[in-house]
Amino acid sequence: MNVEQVLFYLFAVGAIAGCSGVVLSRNPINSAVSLVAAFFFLAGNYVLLHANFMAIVQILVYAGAIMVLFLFVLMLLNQRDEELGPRTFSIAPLLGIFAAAVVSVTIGAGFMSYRNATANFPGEVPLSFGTAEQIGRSLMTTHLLPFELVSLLLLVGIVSAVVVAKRRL
Amino acid sequence: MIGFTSADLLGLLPALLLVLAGMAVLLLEVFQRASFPRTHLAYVTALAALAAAGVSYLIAPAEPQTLWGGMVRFDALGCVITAFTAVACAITALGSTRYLEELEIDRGEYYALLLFATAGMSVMVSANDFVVLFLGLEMAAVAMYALTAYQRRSNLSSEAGFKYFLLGALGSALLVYGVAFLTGLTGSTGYDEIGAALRAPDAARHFANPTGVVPFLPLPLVGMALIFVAFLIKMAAAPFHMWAPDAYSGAPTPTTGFLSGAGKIAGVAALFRLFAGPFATPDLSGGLAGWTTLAFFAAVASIVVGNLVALTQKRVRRMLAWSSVAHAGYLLLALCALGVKEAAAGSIRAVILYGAAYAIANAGAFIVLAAFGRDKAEADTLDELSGLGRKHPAMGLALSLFLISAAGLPPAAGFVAKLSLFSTAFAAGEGAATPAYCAEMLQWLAVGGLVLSVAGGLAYLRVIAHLYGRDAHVRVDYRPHPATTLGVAIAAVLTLWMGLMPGRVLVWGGNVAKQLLPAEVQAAPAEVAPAAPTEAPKAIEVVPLPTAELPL
Repeated sequence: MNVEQVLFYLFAVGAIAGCSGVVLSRNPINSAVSLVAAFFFLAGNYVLLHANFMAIVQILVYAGAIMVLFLFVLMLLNQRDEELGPRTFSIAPLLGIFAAAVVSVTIGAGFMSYRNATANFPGEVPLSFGTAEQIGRSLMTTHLLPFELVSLLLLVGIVSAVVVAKRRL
Repeated sequence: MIGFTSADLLGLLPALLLVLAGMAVLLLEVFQRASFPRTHLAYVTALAALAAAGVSYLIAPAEPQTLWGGMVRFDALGCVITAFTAVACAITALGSTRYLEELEIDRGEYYALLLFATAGMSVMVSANDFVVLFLGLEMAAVAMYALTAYQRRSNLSSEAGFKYFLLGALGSALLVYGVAFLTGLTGSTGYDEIGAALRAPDAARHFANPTGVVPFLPLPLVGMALIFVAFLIKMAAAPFHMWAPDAYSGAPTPTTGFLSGAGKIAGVAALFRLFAGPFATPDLSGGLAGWTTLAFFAAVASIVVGNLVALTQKRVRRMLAWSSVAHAGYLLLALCALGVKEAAAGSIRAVILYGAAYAIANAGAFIVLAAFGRDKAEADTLDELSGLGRKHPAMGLALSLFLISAAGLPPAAGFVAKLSLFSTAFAAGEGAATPAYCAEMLQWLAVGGLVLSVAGGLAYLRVIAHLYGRDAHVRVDYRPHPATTLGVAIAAVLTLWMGLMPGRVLVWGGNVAKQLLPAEVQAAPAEVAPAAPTEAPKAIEVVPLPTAELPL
């Protein structure tokens, strides 16, 4: 195992633990903080994939800006433990774990079939891959249409949010 | 390096028109006094939507073109579906005026969101790249979440919007997850590149099971299945339909018709593009890695659940919501037939006609329902609708026509649509499919679907029986508005036109099939004559086949 592999497993296990924390913890604030942790580990994996710009944006925007806003709102709402209701037993989480296990085994088996594959995967990337320059160039040339569509999507999102949230228009 | 040319813009002109109109409506709304009714915005919206429909009819290319560096496919499928969703949008906008005033939610954003949703559908149907597909889908979905939750003071509407949002977000996540698999395997998000990589001679390694012991799903199939499930959620097909009845009965009534009709046909059109393109085997026999099996089971579940539960519903909107699940099933039935080479062209023709008939009649039915109401709500139970057909003959007749179309009875569009759909599915049974049992099962499904559509038809006929039955015990107001009348008239004329003279729509469907299917499939002479011949058929030629709905 080389350093890269060690780091990968570290980040991967961390990300999985963080995501589990999001769904498993009872307190919404713990969930939000777990999500921040998961974002950090994911950013680590992005770095290993040479997607440096993505990693930094992930931390700045997701972990830094969006999640901080989430936490603000959650703390303003300030739900106490008793407001969350009594702990109840339900079969749904067990079924969920079962389904998740089935899906993971199936997909895992699919991945294992590539373990000894010698054929080249489309993994060869140019040296400039993942830099801000290359992403900017791609956004303005090959991915111009998606770039513009995202801005439209944001407009629709803003209008929708105002429409749904505002008491009187 | 120039990012685009005027040809690129021309291909997206209908979507561009819709978006610009949406922004114009937003701006017009800013300069409105709060008390001023927004009727004129409804007319602006309808005009823009009809203009977009007209433009997409006019610019429809004779040969499919790839624009935006491979991101967008500009062909008959995109143009036809854009035209019909835009018409549905116009009908919905026209039918919303008085309803929104009555509920005190008469604001311009409503119309802007309708236009944005239609633009999103147009982009989604024209997409030739998963990134564009996702963005178009999300644009339509986000606008539709907000439209569903538009009655902010109603808990029911907020609940509906929330449920729709949660399930919709799950669907989007599954879509992205599935795309991640395909992109990881092929190194691209473009349909053409993914299709080429999955059909390449060395692609067998993706499908081979190295161990031979462990139950194994090839990764391309995992990706395709995830994408397919995402679309099933968005289309409210069983077994992923649980959000639909709540969302459809909580949303503002006119919007429901748009959501369930236009949303469904845009989704199924995008699926057709995927499954006739990147996910198809070279000769289209059964589809890559047997996706027909998936479509088959989803179709069976949707048809059974949708029709049978619709029969038990007391509220008209819930009944329509459940039967919309059944309609999703019929559309999936056509998708199954796409996997059989001999029936592929017929299935595309059938799905275009069926989708058009369903989207228009559904939008019409819901705006008629929105015109009747009491206590700031709409008439919804069968009792409330009793006798309204005699009191308001024109509206009653129109609603009956739309319901007859949905039930699949002549002379409405639904009859011809169902006929060509079921005969295509039956013809597909004669063809060769992999896995082989699929073809035979398709025939059984066609027969079973017919029987169940009779059951579903009874649910519609019960509403018509009430319309012309005893008078209601409760007082129900009729809220007439010239815009509503216009919208209903458009929908009724189109429904009758497609029912009596389906030739033109079938020709469009034929064009779509010609441009969508690979050349090898076209060259193969169809051994089984599909219901609708390729040339423009006269209405008479289509009708004399054994009528399925005779038991009614």
